[in-house]
Amino acid sequence: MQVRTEEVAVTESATAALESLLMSSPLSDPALLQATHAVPDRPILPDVTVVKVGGQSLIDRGRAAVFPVVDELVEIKRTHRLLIGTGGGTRARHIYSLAAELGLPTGVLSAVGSAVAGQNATMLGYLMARHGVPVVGSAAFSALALYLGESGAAIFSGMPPYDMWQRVPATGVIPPYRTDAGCYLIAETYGCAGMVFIKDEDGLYTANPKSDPSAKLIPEITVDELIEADLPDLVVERPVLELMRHARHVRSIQIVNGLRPGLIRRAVEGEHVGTIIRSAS
Amino acid sequence: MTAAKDVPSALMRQTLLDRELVKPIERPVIRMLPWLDVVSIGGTAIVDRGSEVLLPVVEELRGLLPEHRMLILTGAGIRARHVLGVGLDLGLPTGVLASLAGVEAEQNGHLVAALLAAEGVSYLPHGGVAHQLAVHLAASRAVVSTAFPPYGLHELPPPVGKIPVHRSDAGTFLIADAYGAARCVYVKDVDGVRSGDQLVARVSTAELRERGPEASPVDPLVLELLENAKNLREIRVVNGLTQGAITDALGGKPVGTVIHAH
Repeated sequence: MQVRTEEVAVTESATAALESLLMSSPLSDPALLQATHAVPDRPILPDVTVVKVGGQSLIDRGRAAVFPVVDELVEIKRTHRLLIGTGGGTRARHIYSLAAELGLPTGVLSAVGSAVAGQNATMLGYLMARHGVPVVGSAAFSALALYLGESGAAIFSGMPPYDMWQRVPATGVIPPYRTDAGCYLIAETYGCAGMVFIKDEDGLYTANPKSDPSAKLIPEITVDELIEADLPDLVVERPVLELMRHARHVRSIQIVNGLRPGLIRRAVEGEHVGTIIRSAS
Repeated sequence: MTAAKDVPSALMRQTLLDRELVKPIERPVIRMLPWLDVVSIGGTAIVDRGSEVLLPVVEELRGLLPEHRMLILTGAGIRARHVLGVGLDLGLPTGVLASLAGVEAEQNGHLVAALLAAEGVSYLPHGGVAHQLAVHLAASRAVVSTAFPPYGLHELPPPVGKIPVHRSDAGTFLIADAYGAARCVYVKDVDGVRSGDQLVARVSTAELRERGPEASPVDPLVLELLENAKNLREIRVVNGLTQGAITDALGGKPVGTVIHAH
């Protein structure tokens, strides 16, 4: 009881200092940022796991790849609450290529690319409708608690809503924050239990295993090690690594092979069955 | 296992992460609206000061309508700080704080748009600014919107603490660069960047960064965005408390401070 009272006292004085800084300093003031760092968090959906179903890696393969994944997700949602995000895939690559050659800016690519992840969410939604799983648009995120309570899962389009405000990459115009980043940010913002990327490879390799047969699987690695390794290609979007560095909740992600039955459930339950990337060792 | 059903393209089967493989599609980025003037009105600096400061700024904007086609953006101020304080105390995450703080920038936009309504100026939400700006500016000389970008729940985790980093200054810059605007002007309550008693007319992002975070009249993130930008090479900061400063800025006259990349 004694300890609790002290904790409350510490929090209250920290909050008073923070409030005075908030009203008087620029919002980029280092002292203010430091003060906000100390404020305790209250995770919003701590028992939910976000899973991302790859576009190119799974959905573009059609029923052979998608139906087993759908069956597995339906089975998992009986015991675990899931938020299911979708990737883009080959149509996104087509329109990025087309739009970039037209000289259009990143913001336009972001908007049109977003529609592809949306199509994939729509298709997944029709497949899972009989199991009571809804597709939620960005406006319906406010009703998530209801959907999750009612059906145990909800589907969303993985692309972040940055639209014309998407950050531009250092070179080229392809939006740097795409569906991996979009799904990860939902997991982090809601303080979810975990983030599982379902792809068509056993995890992260030293090179792209589809084009380089000498590529070796990396079962576990930290963000710093991965940034230092500066691999020419990666199985997750590079900005996700930077996001993980600063994350407060989702400090590890797992990449699993959705073409191998049973791995998604094991990953959702925290078992190491693919590549685990950690924010720190 | 069935192979994926591909659409042929230069990026087909790529992860889009191999820097060499994405090069073949690189082209110079076009300026979609090369005549656009983006004017960002500070929330704390201008709007929160009330009628005494805001009305002259609005009058100045009204006077600019015949000559300029403007996207007028409004920032957030004291109410955003209040809601950030409440939200932080409740333990809410950065993504939720971003959505909450952005509401004030919208409210301020509605106030400015209401004052310019008689001239055919309306408030446009994010979707309108992103996808119907050209038609609105064909019908009217200016539109008003929020300077906050639509990051919301997808705000990036900040390096330190929990305050969302993509606020009015960053949002203004991102949309101005995406459209390839002619000018991007920040209306603040300072003359620009000072060196002792002197107002600095031009300063590079690198020089400004060396002076420390408190030297920059815009969020430090804008300096980083400016260095990476595809179209905009510079921004201008002017004092909205000085009558005529916005007019001079849009007229290309030397006023305030120009912050440029490289």
